[in-house]
Amino acid sequence: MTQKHSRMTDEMIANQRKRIGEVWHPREPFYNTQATKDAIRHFAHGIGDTNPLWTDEGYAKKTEYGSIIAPPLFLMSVYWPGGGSGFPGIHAWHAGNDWEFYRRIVLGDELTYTNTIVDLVEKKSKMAGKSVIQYSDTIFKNQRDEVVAKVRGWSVWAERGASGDKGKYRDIASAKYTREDIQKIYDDYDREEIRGGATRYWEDVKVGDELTPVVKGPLSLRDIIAFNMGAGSIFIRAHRLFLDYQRRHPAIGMIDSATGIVDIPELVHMEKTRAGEIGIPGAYDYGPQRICWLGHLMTNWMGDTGFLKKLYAEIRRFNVFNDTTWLKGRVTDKYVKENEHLVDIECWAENQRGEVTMPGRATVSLPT
Amino acid sequence: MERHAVITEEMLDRLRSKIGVEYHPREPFYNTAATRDAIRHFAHGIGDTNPLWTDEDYIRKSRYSSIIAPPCFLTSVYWPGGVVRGLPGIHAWHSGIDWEFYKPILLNDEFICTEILTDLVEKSSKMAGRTFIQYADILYRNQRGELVAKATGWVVRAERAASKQKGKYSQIQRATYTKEEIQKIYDDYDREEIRGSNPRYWEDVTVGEDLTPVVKGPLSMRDIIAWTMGGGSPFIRAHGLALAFQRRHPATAMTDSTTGTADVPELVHMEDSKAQELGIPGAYDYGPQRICWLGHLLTNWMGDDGILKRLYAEVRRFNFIGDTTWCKGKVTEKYINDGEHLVDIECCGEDQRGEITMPGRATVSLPSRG
Repeated sequence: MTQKHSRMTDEMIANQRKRIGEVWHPREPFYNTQATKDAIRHFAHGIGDTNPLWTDEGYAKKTEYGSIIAPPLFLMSVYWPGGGSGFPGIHAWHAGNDWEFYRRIVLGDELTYTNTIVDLVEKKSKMAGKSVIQYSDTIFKNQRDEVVAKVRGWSVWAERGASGDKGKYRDIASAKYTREDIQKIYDDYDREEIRGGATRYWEDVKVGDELTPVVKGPLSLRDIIAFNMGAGSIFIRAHRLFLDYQRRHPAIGMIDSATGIVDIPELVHMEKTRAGEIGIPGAYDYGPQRICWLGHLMTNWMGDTGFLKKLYAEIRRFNVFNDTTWLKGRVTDKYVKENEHLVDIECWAENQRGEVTMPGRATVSLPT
Repeated sequence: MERHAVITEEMLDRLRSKIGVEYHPREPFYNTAATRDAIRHFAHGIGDTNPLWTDEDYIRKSRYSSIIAPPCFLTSVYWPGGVVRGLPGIHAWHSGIDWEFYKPILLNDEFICTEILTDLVEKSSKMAGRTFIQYADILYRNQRGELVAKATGWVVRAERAASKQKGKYSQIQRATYTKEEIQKIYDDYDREEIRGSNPRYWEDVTVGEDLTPVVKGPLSMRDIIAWTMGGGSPFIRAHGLALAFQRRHPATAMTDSTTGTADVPELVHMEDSKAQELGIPGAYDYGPQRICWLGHLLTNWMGDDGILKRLYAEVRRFNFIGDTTWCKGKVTEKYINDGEHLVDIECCGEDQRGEITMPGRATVSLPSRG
């Protein structure tokens, strides 16, 4: 009998180690290369962010920027920093990002990136047999050759077969809501606060302050596709472009035993049966998507004048279809450093079971 | 309680009152500008690798000063017939478009659209009980005030419950292929011919000649999503934006009896269980998507110097996930009109069962040796 899923070999790991430190310049765009008004709107709307600073020219004209700008996590539509490529046929779970932002992205900016694999750590995972965590650094620059942001991203790579056999998540039932539960979610949508032009001054912030939560859910395939439309995708390619890709990367196909159909592993984010193939009880969100939701929480809170300097997030648990996520945060520190008035925030994603699915932290610079 | 909405006289009267009224969309449908990213996302979303749409180096050697967008790019600005208004809770099947293209789409052109509902015709359908065809004209203008294109789009409106009871399609099985059949599809991908900078002169075209086919398939959800990333979508909205839409349009949601969740009916293009709710055996492509594939066939054939003037297509049968579509064409006539050297083409989408799922016709203007 042939192996249904690829195995992670020592040779594969050794080969991959040779790539550490190589600076990779992409030959083709990932998704967006420019912060146009359409691209910014598609991205913001794709994460459910209705802040007028990203889309409303009339509103933005009256701000200090004089035109719309892009949310910091718009860079996710330029590239998903997830530790880089490698390991043909081995599944990758996007596991975290550590962002440092240096400049705002203004309308019309052109954005490029380089990616460098920086480390590879073998790991004993609860989820699967042999697995590694691969780390990369991505540097984003604009057309003025200014570094806009740097990010360390990492993914867990694990054999699909091992992950499917382990079935750690199999017993998790699909979320069910009463009418009241749903009403509470809708109420939380209505309570969302976009600070906007009401400047949040550093002096007015107190340690222990809570950020007004942002809710995302119950998660639907609709939300996943809206994110793809705004932020792109790694493997979604149509027709001939997919065939060309498949020929260059013959191990890409993943069989879905329920349907027998071989297609890209990325469909675990859309198809329940394909997610079941790797031991997950339902299709689930993208890691970069959930990290962008945390960005939404921060930009809502800091207002038009605030600047998101750092955002760190770890994807710890799956967020499957019909789950609801609340993005929450609390001020943990405030201080002045090199004349900047900074606030540290502990932030996280929490689901309807009360589990923290993504712990994180952020640093915001506020006006005085 | 009715689980699916039914068509009432009152709903029809309300919709009829909008006939002839110009509608100016307040919000963008998807793209408002033909940026290089938007053009690439659209072209790649239909599987079109013509360098005229994406390759700046190629363009430098062409007669154009910048990349241009394929004519059907306008679908990403507004889906003709796809942005359906009226008859809340009544399903819409995109059934056809009649495109007339007047101007090329240059890099960074910006567009505004006007839609006019032109007619509502009752029809006896094999698919469901009471059905109507709704026609609308869309006018696309660019930032120079030029009329770039006009499209007449039409959708069939039918009750979801009636459609399910009829079950006209319930016998259709998901396509399966032998290794040889898959190889033949791959071979057809390899045979695709992008005419490009090699001019196709009007004088060299003969009536009866075939266009090199363009193949799309076997269709996957991957292709559907790639299409929405390039072409947009009428109802895909995330989180709070979906909730806001649902509150404005409470009848939009459709309950999936398999999963019990209510969501936008558009998911019939991705989820089998949603499609089955309408009596359709599985998820299927979008009408505007398939029509754009015909655009790909024509731009491949006519080359960089050709101009697509007209494209008419009717979406007649479903193209399910797993199905394969060959876009084919044949020259039916050549003539000179107002100094233009024109060619008429009969074109279609044909599936692996040999059925024509989408008949169409086109008119192309070609360069002349004379």
